[in-house]
Amino acid sequence: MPFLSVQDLSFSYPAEQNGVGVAVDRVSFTVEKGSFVAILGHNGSGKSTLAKLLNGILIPERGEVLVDGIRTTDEDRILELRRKIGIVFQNPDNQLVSSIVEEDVAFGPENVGMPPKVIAERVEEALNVVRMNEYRRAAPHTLSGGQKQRVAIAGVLALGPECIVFDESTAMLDPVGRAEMMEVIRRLYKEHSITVLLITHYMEEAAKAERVIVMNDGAIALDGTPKEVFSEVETLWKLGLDVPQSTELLHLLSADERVQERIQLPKGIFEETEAARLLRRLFEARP
Amino acid sequence: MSVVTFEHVGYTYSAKTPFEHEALKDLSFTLQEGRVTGLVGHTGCGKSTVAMLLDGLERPTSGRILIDGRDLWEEPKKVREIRRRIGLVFQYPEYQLFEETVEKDIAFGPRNLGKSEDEIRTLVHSAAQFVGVGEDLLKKSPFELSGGERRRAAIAGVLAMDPELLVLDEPAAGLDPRGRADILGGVCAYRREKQNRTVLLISHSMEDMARFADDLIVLKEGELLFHGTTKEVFCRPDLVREAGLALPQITRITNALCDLGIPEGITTTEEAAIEILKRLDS
Repeated sequence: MPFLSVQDLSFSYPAEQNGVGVAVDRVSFTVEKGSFVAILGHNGSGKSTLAKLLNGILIPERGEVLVDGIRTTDEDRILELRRKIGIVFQNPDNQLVSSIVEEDVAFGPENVGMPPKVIAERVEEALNVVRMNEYRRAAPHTLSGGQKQRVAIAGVLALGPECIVFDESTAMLDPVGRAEMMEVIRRLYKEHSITVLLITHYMEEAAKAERVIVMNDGAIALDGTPKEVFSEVETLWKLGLDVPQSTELLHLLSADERVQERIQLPKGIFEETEAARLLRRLFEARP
Repeated sequence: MSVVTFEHVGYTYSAKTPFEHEALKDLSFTLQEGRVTGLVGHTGCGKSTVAMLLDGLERPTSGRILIDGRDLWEEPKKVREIRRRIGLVFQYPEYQLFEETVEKDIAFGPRNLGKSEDEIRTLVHSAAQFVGVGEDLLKKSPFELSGGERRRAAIAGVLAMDPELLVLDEPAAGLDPRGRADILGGVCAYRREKQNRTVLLISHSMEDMARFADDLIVLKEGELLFHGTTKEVFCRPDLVREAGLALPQITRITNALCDLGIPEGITTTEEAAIEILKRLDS
């Protein structure tokens, strides 16, 4: 059984909340346990609505979401469900509640009534995973954006989730903060077997996932490996998205006769070393 | 306006307290009229402090800021007059919208400058046009707009004051690729269509700088590391790394192929494709 199962899911916001049209429109997909899926889409494509439907913050209008077999509409089991799937949001300043890092991380476990000894262990372990243990006594406002987001991840981790949804959690960070987050995300799914759903509009982040789902107008437009998805350059452009620059360069070149006479450039290349290798081959080839 | 010069500018936050922090050290540069200059550097390098000083919100601890050769703080009472010629767009400006309609919000600035109703109408509509805020949006409440639309409305509010020097602090942060291009492209259109407008664009996205900045100022820990054309900076991966930044992927790929005769410092994929095809012919 897949960890996450979304079947025929639809949702629209009520008119008084600026509800224009359907935010999520008959979406179906499944996610296996321990995988790393990126969800791409321009602003307003339904990505964040989808995230909120996954842990029952929003209730489907049609269709259903099952997390490890629990339906998000099952009120008796909603707390159990939310301990399985945590969300890290966009704004690093909106998610921390305490004036000391370790107390902030302990907030979730305290709320669900864990014994103090377990809480202390969980907090330490979570801060270790995000490499923030040396800051455990620090005040959150003295941290950088990337560090705050890592504390927010630790707060989710302390509850022992099986899946974490990152809802544009890197959008407000500088390049260094984004790199720190991506490193933590990599460890979460590689070393701790946590299922990761990364909502982003940075292509280089999506390229690191095992699978990329592209949303448009509330529906799934593309779904495949990064290589398969980035092969659809024209489609992604039409959807208001970019492709990695290496993919774009090879796409532009392969449209030219002089290149076609020499070699056939593969589609969907997003690694710079591979792109450079292909360009060398192009120069070596004779028409 | 024309020329903006920083002359040995230093700025220290909370001087003579335990929180004392020297944000800028002996910083000197000149912004050329009619050009888009990018200000880049790692978080905490002093980029936003430069913006604040340029807008006359704080006074440099040392050194002078010259505008058209005149010291901004020569007569502290007249700083306000000079500030009218400078437009500053803060980070996340959409949080500052407050009027009932987008149109009224954009008109707030020019109205404060004492423009006539006719002038205000023209200024509002032309500013809205630069950043793609259509007629339908002008009539809406700012709170009915999407995040990207709200950001564009806030920037239009500054453009409507028709500033000679426009300073934008991370104007595209958090937006999707189309949103980024709409805003930065709009700012460049403003610079192109109006005469002698100077733009200072603060960002840590080297990809955006590659497309929109003519010149770059690279800061490191409050000090000037380099000031030159965007191309010159892109030919210096060592400097970019020292500043804690990364060149765009396209520049890294093509810089690695310079032994094949491909020039260094390529900024966009279009440029890379042209240069590569040129060399295939020879």
